[in-house]
Amino acid sequence: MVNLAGNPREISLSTYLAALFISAVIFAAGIYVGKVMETGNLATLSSGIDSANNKMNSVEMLYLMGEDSPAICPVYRSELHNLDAQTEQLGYQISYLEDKGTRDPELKKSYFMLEASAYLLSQKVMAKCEADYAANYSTVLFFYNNSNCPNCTQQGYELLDVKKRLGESLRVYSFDGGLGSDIVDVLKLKYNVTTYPSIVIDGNRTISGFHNNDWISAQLNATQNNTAISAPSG
Amino acid sequence: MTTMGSFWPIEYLTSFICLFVAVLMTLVYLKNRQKIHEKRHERRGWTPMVSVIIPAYNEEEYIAGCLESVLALDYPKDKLEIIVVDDGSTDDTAKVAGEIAKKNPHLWVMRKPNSGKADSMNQAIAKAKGELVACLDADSYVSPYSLNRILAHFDSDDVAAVAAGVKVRKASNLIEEIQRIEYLYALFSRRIMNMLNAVTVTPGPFSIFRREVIIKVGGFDKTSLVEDQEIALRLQKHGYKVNSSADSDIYTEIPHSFLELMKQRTRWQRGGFWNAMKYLDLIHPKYGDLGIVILPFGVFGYFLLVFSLLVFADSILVHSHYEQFIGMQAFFLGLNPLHILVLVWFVISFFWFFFGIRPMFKEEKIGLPSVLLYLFLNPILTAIFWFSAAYSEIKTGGKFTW
Repeated sequence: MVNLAGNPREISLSTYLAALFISAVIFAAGIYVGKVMETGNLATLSSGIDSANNKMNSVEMLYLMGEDSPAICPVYRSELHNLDAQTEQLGYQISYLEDKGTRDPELKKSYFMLEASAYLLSQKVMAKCEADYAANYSTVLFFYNNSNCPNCTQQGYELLDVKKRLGESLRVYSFDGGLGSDIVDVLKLKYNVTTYPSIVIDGNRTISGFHNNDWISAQLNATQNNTAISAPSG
Repeated sequence: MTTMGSFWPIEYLTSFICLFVAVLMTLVYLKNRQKIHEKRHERRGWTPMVSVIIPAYNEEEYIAGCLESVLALDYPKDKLEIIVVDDGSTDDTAKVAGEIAKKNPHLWVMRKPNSGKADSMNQAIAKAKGELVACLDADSYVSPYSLNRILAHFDSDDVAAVAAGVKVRKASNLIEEIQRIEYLYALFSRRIMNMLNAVTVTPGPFSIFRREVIIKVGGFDKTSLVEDQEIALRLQKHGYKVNSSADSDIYTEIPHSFLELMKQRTRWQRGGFWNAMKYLDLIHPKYGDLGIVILPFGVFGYFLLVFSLLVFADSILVHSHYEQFIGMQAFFLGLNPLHILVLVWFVISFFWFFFGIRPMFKEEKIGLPSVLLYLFLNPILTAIFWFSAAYSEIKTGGKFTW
């Protein structure tokens, strides 16, 4: 007669406890290292914003110095282009981190301040050096709210698609209206933004509600055509 | 600053469970490493009658080589019976085997209409004379010493089966090399499972069973897609033990291309899933570590798979919009605490490789690039095979075909 002992337990309670303890230590260490890396990422972004701010200060200085000289327009254009590229990258990185779950409201506020300043400066420069900016250069201000706007995330993605299509001829400035940032509130007042999502095309046309990328592209084209028609020749 | 992804609490919990099981198994290994690496080459004077059953369906390419290896076994000929079950082959399998049988009186060929491997085994077991029956896939080759080494693991009367140490015969491309490493990892982990009385598969190439017990528990399951796993679980449900031999050196042919591999693994995954569902009642403390850790973690694996696919889909479909604008920055910015745990998983896998697998299989040349390839590609391949298995289930409505 075979004695069927079945499957006796081989792992003792102490082994289970040891595994639990070691796992907990590794897990805690992993989370700690991860948090340190996360903090490092945010610090890198923060210093990126500082560096962009410095660049903007120098463009501002340039603007003040060359107020009456149209010959300086190509320099503005080049400097603003660099500043825009840097600011845009910072925005993508902040949005990417946010998508991954890492949020830092203070960092975003300082980014919005940079973005708003860069936008206002570029508007001034464009007005002054109209001939140096191609007619097909557009700006879009995108106002969203992360906490109470189901369509805002998708609207952001639609604008990314438009950006992918138009490349450097479009500059999108995004602003989170739910953060309590003073500069964003001022811009909302200036462009009469009352709901989310809203976009402002070329600083003169505010459109509320969700719109897909084809629709936005068509609106940008229409605006550009109008500009092209009304632009002085020669 | 806050961290809040869509699934983060489940991500953290599942990661912790995976880490816990990996650490637990490593501790089990460290505690039992001498036994795990122990070589058992003597059958201690025990020479039972053994029937080697070779079910074959259209195996004319391999059957001669397979039989040649069995005939060269270092075992008394009067204690060895070899049965080739020609399962309705449409090629010359029976003819090739018949020619060899003419010169070897202890080898005979049983011909029958096609009815599948499990039924072929059952019919042969009913006619076999051996106290033990060895199941041998026709595309596999045994080493002369393999039978003695496997018999050495029948160390008590309640051991109903011993899983053979199956290795890949030849690896000459990437798909084959990944499988070669995978087989070695599987063999090693099966030895750890042996320490826990939790071996969950008796692979087709040369696993050996007590004939009387197989008949008592109802033979191989004709409805299972992976009958070699089903029988291992059923034996343990009936209170028997299943052991594993790592150094018996059985060499098997493997799928040569990705599509062949996908076909094989789709069947394995589907069969494995239904076996797990069939034996959910083994998840119980009365089945020891098998019921407390191994099977629960196996079932948890299904949840993990579905969850991982959800997270993957979420990251691709919902959260991948900004990556194209920031390039490589995405990699560094995307690192989070859970990625550290992936690193820990790699460290544990390497620990097993350097301290477990490499010393255990000294004769196998295992290069670090191969191991790295395996560790990176295996999870991806597994996910693909799972997709294929799920699709196949839906397409066939759960109907099993080989």
